[in-house]
Amino acid sequence: MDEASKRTPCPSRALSPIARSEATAGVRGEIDFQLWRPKCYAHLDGGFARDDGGGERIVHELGIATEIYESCRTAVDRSGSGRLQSVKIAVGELSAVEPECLRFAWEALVAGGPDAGCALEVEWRPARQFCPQCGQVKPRPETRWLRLCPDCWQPLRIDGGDELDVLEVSFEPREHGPEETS
Amino acid sequence: MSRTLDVRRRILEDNDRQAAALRASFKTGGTLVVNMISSPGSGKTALLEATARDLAGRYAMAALEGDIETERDAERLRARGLRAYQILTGGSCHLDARLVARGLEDAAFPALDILFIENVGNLICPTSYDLGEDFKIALLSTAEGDDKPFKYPAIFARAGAVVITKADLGPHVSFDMDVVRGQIETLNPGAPLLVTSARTGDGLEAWYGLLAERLEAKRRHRA
Repeated sequence: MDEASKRTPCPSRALSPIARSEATAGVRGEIDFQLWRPKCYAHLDGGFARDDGGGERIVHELGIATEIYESCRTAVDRSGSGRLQSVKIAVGELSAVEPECLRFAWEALVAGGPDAGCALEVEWRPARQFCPQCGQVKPRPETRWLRLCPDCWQPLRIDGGDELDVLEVSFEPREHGPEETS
Repeated sequence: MSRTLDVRRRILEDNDRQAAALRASFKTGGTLVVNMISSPGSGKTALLEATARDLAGRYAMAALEGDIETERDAERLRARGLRAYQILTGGSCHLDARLVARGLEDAAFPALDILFIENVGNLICPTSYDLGEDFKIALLSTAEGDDKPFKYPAIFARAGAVVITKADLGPHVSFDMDVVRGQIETLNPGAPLLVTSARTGDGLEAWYGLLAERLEAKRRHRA
C-alpha cells in the first residue's frame, strides 16, 4: 500500500497510450478530456517518418496542471512522500494561463488518484505599470491599462505579470498513513 | 501532521531548460530564430510565402510549421522553394521546446541564416512557451479587428515586433490603425509595428529590414 503510494506516476501518464490517444479519459466520467500524443511527420526527403516516441502533448492548461503535479509529487517524494493536500501557485496576468481553466484541469487530473481532492490555490499576480520618469508604480483598474503616467504624461512600462510558478505544497507525511485522517 | 514544502519552481522549467539549450545551439550556428504567433488565418504562412519569394537568394532560410493537423502549410512553403518541416501536434494548442528540438532533429536543415517557427494558430497558449527564439512576432490581420491587443495582452506585451497583416483589407473592415498603435504603445512601448500586405507587397520591405537588422545584431554579438 505504502509502496504503491510512494512513487505515484502522474495520473495522465498512468493511462495507457491507447487510452491517452484515442478515448481517454476523463479521469472521471463527467469530464471528457482528450489527451493526445504527438505525431511528427517528416516529408523533407519524400520519406514518411512517424515519431511518437516521447510523452504526451495535451491541451494547454491540462499540460500545465500536469507540470505542477509532477513538480509537487517529486518534491514530496524527496521528503519521504505522502498524500498531497494543497498546492499553491502564482499565475501572472500576462502568463496566458486562465486560473479557472487551470483549476478545472487540476481537479480532473487528481480526481480518482492517490491525491484526489488536493486543492490548487492560485495567487493571481497582476502586471504592474510603472513610470520610468517618476519611478513610481501607478495603480491601474483591474484588467485595464493606463495609456500614460497620470502625473508625467509619459508612456509607462509593464513590470511582472508573467509569473507561472509553483510556490509551495502541503502534504500529509506517509508515517501517518493515508487512511488515518481521511 | 501536515507538512509544507517550499518548492519555488517555474512551472515550465523543463521547457525553459530545453529552450535554453536550443538558444545556445542557434547562437553557435548564428541562426536568427523568429517565433510567429497569431490567430488562425491571420496570414503567417502568406507572409512566409512572400518572404521565401523575395529573400530566396539572400539568406538560407527554413520554416518549422506547427499545426494540429495537415501538412498544408509546409507544402505551401515548399512550393515556394522554402525548406519546411511540418510538426503536427495532434490536438495540442501550441508548440513547446521539446517538439521544436525533435522537429529540428528530423528536419536536418543545413546551416541557416533564419529559421521561422510558425506556431499553432492561437493568440494565447503559445505565448507561455519559450522555444529558444530570438524574438516572437505577434501578427494581427485587419479583419480580426482593432481591439485585439488589449483583449490578448500577453502576446502583444511580449512580442519583439508586431506585424499587422492584410492591410489592404483594412478600409473594408473599419480597422483603425491608430487604435492599434495606441494599444501597442501601451502594452509594449518601443516595439516595432509593421503594417503589411502580403497580397499587395506593401510594408514587406520593412519586414525584411527588421529581419536583416536582427540577424546582423545577432551575428555582431557572436563575433
